[in-house]
Amino acid sequence: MTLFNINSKLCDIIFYDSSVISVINRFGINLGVGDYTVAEICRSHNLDENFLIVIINTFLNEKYFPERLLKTYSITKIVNYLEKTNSYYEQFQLPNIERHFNLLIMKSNADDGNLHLLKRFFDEMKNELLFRINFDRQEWFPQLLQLGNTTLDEDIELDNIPESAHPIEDKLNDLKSFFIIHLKGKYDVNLCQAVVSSIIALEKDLKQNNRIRERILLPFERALTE
Amino acid sequence: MAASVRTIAVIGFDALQLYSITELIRRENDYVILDTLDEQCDIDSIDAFIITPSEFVSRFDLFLTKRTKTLILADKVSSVGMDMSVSVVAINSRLSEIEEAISVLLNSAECGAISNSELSARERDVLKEIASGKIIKEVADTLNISVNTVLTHRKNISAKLGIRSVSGLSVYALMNGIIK
Repeated sequence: MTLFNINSKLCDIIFYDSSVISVINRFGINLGVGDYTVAEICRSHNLDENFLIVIINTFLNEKYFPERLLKTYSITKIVNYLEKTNSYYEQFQLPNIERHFNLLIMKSNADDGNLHLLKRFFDEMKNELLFRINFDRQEWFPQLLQLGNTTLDEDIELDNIPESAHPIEDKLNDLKSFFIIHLKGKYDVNLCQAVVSSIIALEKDLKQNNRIRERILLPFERALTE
Repeated sequence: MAASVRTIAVIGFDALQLYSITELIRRENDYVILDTLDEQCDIDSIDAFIITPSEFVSRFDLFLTKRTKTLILADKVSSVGMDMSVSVVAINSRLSEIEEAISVLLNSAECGAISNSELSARERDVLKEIASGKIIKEVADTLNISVNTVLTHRKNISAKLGIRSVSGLSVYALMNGIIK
């Protein structure tokens, strides 16, 4: 497991795993990062360098979850990050999959209807994710922000967090399996690869950020409302 | 697809019960059956266990850490679904139910060894019912098997196909002509 710090060069982090580009984008950092360190770039963008590096490390490492550290940040900061994440799904990642999917269907002459079935399945997953985003935006996040600009007391009992079902992640996993294992017929290979890559990118993003929702936000909400 | 011979340990039963169980297993396929776990025995080479509750408890650490496919034949079943790798069936259940549970166990032991196995006929039956929108209890009633067995089939289907959601299973069933 590689952990970066605020003195790491951002370009080195991107060279290490380019999927982090989607994370820095939602903080307003675009490519063309020069050879500046995370701390230097954060200063020029007026960002909290420690928060950014925690988010980057959490995103890159499935087995790393700095629960104590994340709890030292205000709930406003975490909610703002997740709101930007939701917007990124809505404005970039979902449309990106959809665009490639539509092109794939258009350019494939397969008449067995499999791709149309898979597209319908994608639409179902997309609608569920958009519904969740809307719920976050209209109800859950405003409620959390109303609870105050507090940090979560480390001593609060966090046991008994129920195992959450992840229907959206399950569907993304299924979609990936359909393409990788069960696809039949002749299709445009480049477009197929584009669809699969964009599905995998969204699946990873959701999975990593769900950990923040479930291990930071949900316990915070329970601790302050019970 | 040729599969290597699997090893099944049947532990803790009296002679008559042991004979009945091994007969049921042999009806399924050609397996090596162990009826004791001595010191020479290589535990890692065992693909599945059929055991009594007392044996399960005495070797709890072994079964839970190794997560080997395990079926407990108990006098009384109070709860099910305690662990992904463990199934429980009452020993006084109907013979068909015990047969079904053993069949599922052996199938899932194969499933662990051959990740891209085809669905068995019974799994296709279960998939058809699930993809048609039936809940687990309805599937169990329709196929005349226990809820626990349906859940194990459902788990094996998902493992074989790499598909977790019910709507994903329905899409698979449509794509493959299992439902129309």
